Amino acid sequence: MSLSQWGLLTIGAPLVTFVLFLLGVGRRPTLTVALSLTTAALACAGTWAMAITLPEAGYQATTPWAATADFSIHLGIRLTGLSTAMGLVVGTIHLLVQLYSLGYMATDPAQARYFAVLSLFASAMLSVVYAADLIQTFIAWELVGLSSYLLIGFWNFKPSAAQAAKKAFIMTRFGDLGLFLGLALLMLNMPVEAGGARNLLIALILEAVANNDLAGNLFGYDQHTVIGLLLLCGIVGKSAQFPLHSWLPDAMEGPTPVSALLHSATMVAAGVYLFALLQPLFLASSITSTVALGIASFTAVMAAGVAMVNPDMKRVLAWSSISQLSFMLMGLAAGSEVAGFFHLVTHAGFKCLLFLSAGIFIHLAHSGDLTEIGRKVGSRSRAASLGLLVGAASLAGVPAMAGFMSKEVILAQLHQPGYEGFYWLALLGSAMTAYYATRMAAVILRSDSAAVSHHRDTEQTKQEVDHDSNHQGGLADSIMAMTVVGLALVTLGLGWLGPQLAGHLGLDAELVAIDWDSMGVGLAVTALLAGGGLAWYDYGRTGAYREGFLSGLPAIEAMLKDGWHMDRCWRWVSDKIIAGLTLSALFIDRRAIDRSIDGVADGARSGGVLAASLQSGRLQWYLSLTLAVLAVALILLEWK
Amino acid sequence: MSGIYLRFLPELGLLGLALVLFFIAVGPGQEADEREPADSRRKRLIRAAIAGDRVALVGGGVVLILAILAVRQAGPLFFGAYRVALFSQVIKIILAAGLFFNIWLAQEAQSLAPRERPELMLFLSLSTLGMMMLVSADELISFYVALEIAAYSLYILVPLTRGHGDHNEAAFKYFLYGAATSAVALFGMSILFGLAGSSSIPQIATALSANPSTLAVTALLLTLGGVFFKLAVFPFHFWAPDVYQTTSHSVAAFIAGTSKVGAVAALLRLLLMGLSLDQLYWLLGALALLSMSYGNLAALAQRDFKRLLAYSGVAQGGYILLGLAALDSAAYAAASYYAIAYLALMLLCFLVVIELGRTRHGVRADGSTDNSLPIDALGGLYSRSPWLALALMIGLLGLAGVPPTAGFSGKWFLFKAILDQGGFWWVLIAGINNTIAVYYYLVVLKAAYVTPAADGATAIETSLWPRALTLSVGLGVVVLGIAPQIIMPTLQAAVSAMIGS
Repeated sequence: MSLSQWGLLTIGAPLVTFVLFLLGVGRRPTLTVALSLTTAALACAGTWAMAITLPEAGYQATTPWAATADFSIHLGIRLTGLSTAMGLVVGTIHLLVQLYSLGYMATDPAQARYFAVLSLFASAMLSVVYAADLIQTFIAWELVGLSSYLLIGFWNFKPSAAQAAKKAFIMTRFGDLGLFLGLALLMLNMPVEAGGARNLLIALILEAVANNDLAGNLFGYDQHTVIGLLLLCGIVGKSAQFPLHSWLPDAMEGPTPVSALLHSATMVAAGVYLFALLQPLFLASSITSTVALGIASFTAVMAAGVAMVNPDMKRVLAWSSISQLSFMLMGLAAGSEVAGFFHLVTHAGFKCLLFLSAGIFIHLAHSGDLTEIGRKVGSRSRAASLGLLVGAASLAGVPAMAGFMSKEVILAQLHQPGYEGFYWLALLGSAMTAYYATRMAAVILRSDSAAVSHHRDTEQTKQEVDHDSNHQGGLADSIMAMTVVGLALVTLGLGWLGPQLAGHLGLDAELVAIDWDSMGVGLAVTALLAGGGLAWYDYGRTGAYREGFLSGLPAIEAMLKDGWHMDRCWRWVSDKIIAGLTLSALFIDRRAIDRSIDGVADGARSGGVLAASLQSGRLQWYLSLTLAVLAVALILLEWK
Repeated sequence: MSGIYLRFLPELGLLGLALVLFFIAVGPGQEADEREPADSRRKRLIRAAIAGDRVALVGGGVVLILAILAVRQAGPLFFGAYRVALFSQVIKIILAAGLFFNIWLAQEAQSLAPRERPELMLFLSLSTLGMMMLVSADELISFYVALEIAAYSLYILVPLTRGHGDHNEAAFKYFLYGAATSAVALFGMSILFGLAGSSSIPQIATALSANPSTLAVTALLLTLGGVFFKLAVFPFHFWAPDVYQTTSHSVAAFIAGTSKVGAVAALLRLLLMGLSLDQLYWLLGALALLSMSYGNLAALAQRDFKRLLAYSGVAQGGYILLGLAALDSAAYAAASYYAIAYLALMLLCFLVVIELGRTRHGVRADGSTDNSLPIDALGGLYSRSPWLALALMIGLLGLAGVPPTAGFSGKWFLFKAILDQGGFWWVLIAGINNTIAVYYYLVVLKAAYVTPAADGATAIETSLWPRALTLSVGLGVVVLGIAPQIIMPTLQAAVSAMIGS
């Protein structure tokens, strides 16, 4: 098969599942699930085939889709080292999550809808990854947002889930508004191609940036700056960066495998991917790259702070995703071509692993609360414990684990003159990461070590767990356990694939090599020990108080638990500012627009009655009318 | 086979099909025998009807294949009275496809007595044959004869429905109205003949462009009037609402879809052959704007779905006419694209009408047939039959011009071509019209999806056929909407070839 056929198969196969679901296959859940898994496997095979057979010079196949005299839109695929590597991550994790969902969603009555929307997501996400034209990227980007909305609100009978879905949709839309304006501006300033039309083919954009064709002044700023900042809005929304981040923790209302796939490994990484894709455009303006770096480093620390105190396992992971996404953006905005992306790949592995383990824990404990999980399940689920250990160690940055290897490359990139402030913020973020990762693992796995413990519950808990695992059915459990163990093994090796990844991107393997003797590694390990040690003292050691050191500072702890009061800020904005605007708009709407629309509608309605009244039923009347109109037309003709 | 037969292949096939159907319609199975028990006679008639249905379906498929095979043919026929070119052949494929789908829809038509079903198939084929000849006629006489073959078949088809009732009144008005417009058209043709001294359309075109008098424009407008009648644009539309509402669903489907494509193609061909003068620009434009405004406004006030479709057809004819008025090859191609999309959308809408018609007790207290379909009867369609609701949704959203349907891309091409000709105000008025139209299409959709079903309404069992039709036509509409370039270049080539010759 040729590359373009593989591309069509990869993007099209999951879409077929969704369309067939809509066309009525959805009434047969088993068939839908089977279709969904088959197409997921096909898409995954496609991503591998494209990555392996990618020619040295890359590959592009497009077909013009809509064209006017001024611009044209293309559909197609553009295969580069970057896009095929990202596609590999998406395709593989999607397949894994589908497999895992076989177990996780086994008893859900709306299983068919779940798998179908998951397939829609895969198709749209792969289209984002492989798109050759930014308009195609944008279309798929919005479809990804739609499937995110549908999946967060999957349990739509829960008001909180419906609310969270709405919030995610609207907040990301804010960012997409900027993205769209940015695309429009970019389109207007692209050099004109042969035939007089402009387009947004990514290859041409990168060429234009390289040739400095986009240079120019816009509102008193360099064009690169204005366009870059607008595009950055979309990235901030999708990748949940400050100030558009608070939808992501709420998005945990969706099923856990969805959180694993969309809200940690792939969808939220789409923003980072877009940054990597257009990196030269962003780096062309020092203002844009500094703003990106500033937002990212602030978000990294801020989100890690919330993760340190949040009691809910999935929310801790969500805040951690926000913080880790910031690390990726920092690497990219600091100018490294591989650092941020390498971290995206390893993060996709270990965060997905953490979520899938969390899914098992939550299934067994019937609660997402860390203490509750520790009390009811603890280390009794071996697969989940393994996943949690490997994932948490990787997240915390234990040397040689995946997360350490890739984060070290980012830190090394930042550890150079000009970036000192950002570097220290990143180190602080690393220490905080180590704290919350250790805390999470310790609270769950060392529940019997607590001083003021719940020993008396243990016997009862054991029964509960036994009961649950009987109730769950062996097959569903073992599918989930096997997926987690498999992913854990992959994650262990992922950190050492840096040179291969760099090679695939067409870069020097030196870029990801770690200088073990350097001060940077020493500082990183110090941060790990400081954060991890503190958490161990608070939660892990035998006889620990199991309360964070922050409980000594209630004001700060309350603020962190509330997510820096960001939701309150947004509520204030929406209540005071937007509501004020809305009221005045409402006034105009009621007084001016409604009235005139009502007038038009009434006019149309009475016009309709009048028009229909021509239909008298009398033939002589019809014929006279026809001839009269003809006669009037001819008289007008003569008179003209 | 020699070139002549190849050039005439689709028409020959259709003629053969009509002959076979004719023998089924009047054949040995149909005659009355006093001694035969009524029960066995009824069974015999039903057998003949089913045979006719199946023969027509197979024959329609064969004609479609023949039309596709003959697409590359070109050249004159019958001493220059007839001309085969890419444009006419493409339109013949569309007409054959329209006929095929209409026959498909009309299988076992419930609103017709079994005795009349072979006749339905026969006259559907004959009418299509007339339209095929219409797009190839190079002579005023052959043009007129073709026009009348297409029209007379319909005059017979419209009253063809069970029992007695108001359809006879509508059918008779339709016939009289058609006869009067034919007379007007003939009058126009006679002036054309007088001006040019020839009945050959290309020669008339040369004569007119040499001497573009007001009389010539008058004659042209009168001649086009004969075709406007078939397209049912204002003020030639008066027959449409009554005919749509009262005739059997299968015939209404044919008149609403295939027949209009034939009319658009005939108009286009006259214009393409050079039978156009610059004064026509604003005459056609004014008629188009009047037609769409009138059709949309009147559709707002309708309570019957078929009447609504009739008025919406008046408006849609206006959009197409607007494309023709631009007198520009891109606009012509867009208009033919839009006509094709319209045909597909009408098939979807009438699929719903026909399937729904099966479940309604379409008989009034006095024994006459009730072929109307109030919008209220669509209530709860989604819960009664998701398939039909899907077909209705694609059809109506397409008519409303919502992406990603062919209705959207068609309007887009049309409006863009007109804008390129500087017709900003035209497009503005057409856009406002479209907004009005969305309202009444959505009212119908609301009935189908939101309003609960009336008490006692049961689920509608759709068999495999309507599902297959929904899927194939619906998919076609969406695919054409996303990738119009599948047929657009062919249409452009066909149109420019006509202009060039």
